[in-house]
Amino acid sequence: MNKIYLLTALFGLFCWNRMAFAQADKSYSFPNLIRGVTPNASIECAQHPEMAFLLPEMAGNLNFGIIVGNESKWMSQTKYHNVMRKGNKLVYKISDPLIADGELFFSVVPLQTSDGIVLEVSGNKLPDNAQLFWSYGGGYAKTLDKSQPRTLCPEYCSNNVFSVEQSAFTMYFGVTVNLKVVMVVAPVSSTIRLSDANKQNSPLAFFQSGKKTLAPALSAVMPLFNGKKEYFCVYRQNKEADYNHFMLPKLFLDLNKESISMKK
Amino acid sequence: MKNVLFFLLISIVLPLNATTFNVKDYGAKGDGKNIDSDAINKSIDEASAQGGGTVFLPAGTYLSFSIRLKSNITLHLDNGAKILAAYPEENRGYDVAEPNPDSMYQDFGHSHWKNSLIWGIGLENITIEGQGYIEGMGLSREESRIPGVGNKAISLKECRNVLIRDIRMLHCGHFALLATGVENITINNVWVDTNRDGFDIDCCRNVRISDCSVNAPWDDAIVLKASYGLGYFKDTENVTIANCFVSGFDQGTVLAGTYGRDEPQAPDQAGNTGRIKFGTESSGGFKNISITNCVFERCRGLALEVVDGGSLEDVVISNITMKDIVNSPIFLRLGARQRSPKGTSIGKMRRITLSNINVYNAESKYASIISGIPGAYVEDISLNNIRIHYKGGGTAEDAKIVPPENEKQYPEPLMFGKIPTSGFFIRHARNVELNNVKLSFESPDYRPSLWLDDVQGLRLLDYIAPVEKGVEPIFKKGNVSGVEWNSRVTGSKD
Repeated sequence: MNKIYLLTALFGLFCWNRMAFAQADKSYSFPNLIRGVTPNASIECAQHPEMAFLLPEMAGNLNFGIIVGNESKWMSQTKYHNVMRKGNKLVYKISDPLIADGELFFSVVPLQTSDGIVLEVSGNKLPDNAQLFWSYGGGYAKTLDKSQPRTLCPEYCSNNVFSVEQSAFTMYFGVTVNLKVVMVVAPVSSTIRLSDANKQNSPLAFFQSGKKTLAPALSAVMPLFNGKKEYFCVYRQNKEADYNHFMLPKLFLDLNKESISMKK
Repeated sequence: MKNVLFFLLISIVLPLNATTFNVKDYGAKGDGKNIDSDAINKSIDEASAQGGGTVFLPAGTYLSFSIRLKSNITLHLDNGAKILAAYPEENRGYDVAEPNPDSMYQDFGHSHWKNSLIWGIGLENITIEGQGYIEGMGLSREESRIPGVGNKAISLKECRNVLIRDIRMLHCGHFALLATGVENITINNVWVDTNRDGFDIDCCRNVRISDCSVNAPWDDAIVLKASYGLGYFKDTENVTIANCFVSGFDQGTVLAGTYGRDEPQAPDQAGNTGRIKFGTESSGGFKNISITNCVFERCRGLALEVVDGGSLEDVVISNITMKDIVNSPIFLRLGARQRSPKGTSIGKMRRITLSNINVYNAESKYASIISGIPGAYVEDISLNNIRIHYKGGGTAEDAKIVPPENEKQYPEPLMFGKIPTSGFFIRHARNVELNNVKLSFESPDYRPSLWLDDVQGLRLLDYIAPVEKGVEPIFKKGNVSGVEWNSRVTGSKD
């Protein structure tokens, strides 16, 4: 009988640890820097595909997860993830038992026309029901000091407004007299929901959290197909930077060429 | 026998000269997958070639890019029919925005008409009707200039004799309807639930808007404008707006009948919008306008703004109820933004009567505002039978604030910051009458009930408002003359 109590206690401890890991999974660093085109603007990137847009005020966090059936996990929780810098491009590689023998690749290149990035996602050997999760939010409109998290913190989300148009959106943040705007173009296959940034225990929990919150953010799921490339773009609109979904493959290709030539 | 032959002949000839043109006969699929705008445009062309007629959309979803109206055409959306705005692709999209050399005087959306789901320029005798939907999911409310991007559901420029009735419109981009320079337009029983402006009536003459519901949480619901988009000055005049409901519930939830309140903020971070407004574009003027029997809920208050040089005059607004108002329930602003051709003089705001207005649960931060600018007065304003229940909560510290003039700033109650009065802030005004005005507060408010600066001629008749102990009922900053009141001027708690 004592063994049963002991096993129960150990199992409980294991579960608590797992939960604690999920809840506390925000302490990682964002050591990979991509410079913006305006002074002091930068995109800080984690060791897994997650970016904080400091333009120079906190203008949002782009994060990713994997969903397979009823299971999901953040990229930060995947068993294997690494990042390599090639010129001014960052390339992430992901593998995890959740996607069996599958692999995911994320390539991030900076825009030349605006503070922002274009990101290409592709995968191979993925399970048929694999989905990519993504989220964006946290327009705090304040400059973060080094100790403040670059992750999607609920306190960064207050009064953020998201104008979603198909799979592109504009996030409005800041105060009326100093209103900030950032634009994001996501793959057209995305199903996007207004969600509660207080409920990020897992990508699925976030996606199913509902929109009634004081910490609004967007979460989305989209199907992943082996060999199919999908694109994201985060930017501040100006005369030179005005993008739609159909423009992103060529934009990425052009910026990628520049990245390679820089490396040479 | 002759009669029988005549009717037989008529029955044979009529279908050949049909005045109804079913879009499915011209190749429309109505499956929501194929682009049907080419087929719809072909139907319109055919109808037009025959002198006009009804282009009929039976039940189905018609995925479309630009639909080009022509004169003498009725576009009839049958119950169950939906025109669904498609998302632009690399090689196809909406018609490209036409050049406009005067685009600097108003927003991009106001300056072009062809980049729309349904548009017409220089037409006459056009009708859009039926119990079907126009859904603008592929339209943009933002400022993208990419060729092929569309940003308006219906856009009409310099047309004549227009009727829009019975349709329902959802998520329509920058405007559900932009009518610029239109003579004679009737909008009746139209339901709009959208992500930016509802109806923008710009430089139009002889306008009837009635029995409409417009939910526009992120911008204005029914808005009269007088921009310089046409390249010349033109007033918006002879307008009636009656029996309408305007609101700022969560987008899509009015047409869904659920009236959501989960999303409290508009993109400009100043609370849900969804109001009836005059301005902001006001290079031309607003004249001879009547608004009556309208209901506001969960939105900003009534706003009359002239800031670009036009004259706003001869306006009567009556029988209005407002509930859950997030800024000033009444905002009258004459300013000098002057977004007009160089040399345009400062406008005028005068001869305005507001009567029978009941407001419940109004934000107190900005009170109600009647404000001109130094040297340019709001004149001849009459407010009768006004009852406002404010949230209250103003402090003695708030009462010490002297709001900036901000003469050139975009007009919105928050432009002055917190207001030092609990009832009415009146500055640079002449001949104002407040008659039978009753104010009440949910929480105590420690600001004066009236704050006056540069006011010549103010009649307070049966102005009743509670004032907290020690608070002076009326604060006169300076240059205030001709203030008259009767014995019931305040209901002080002293």
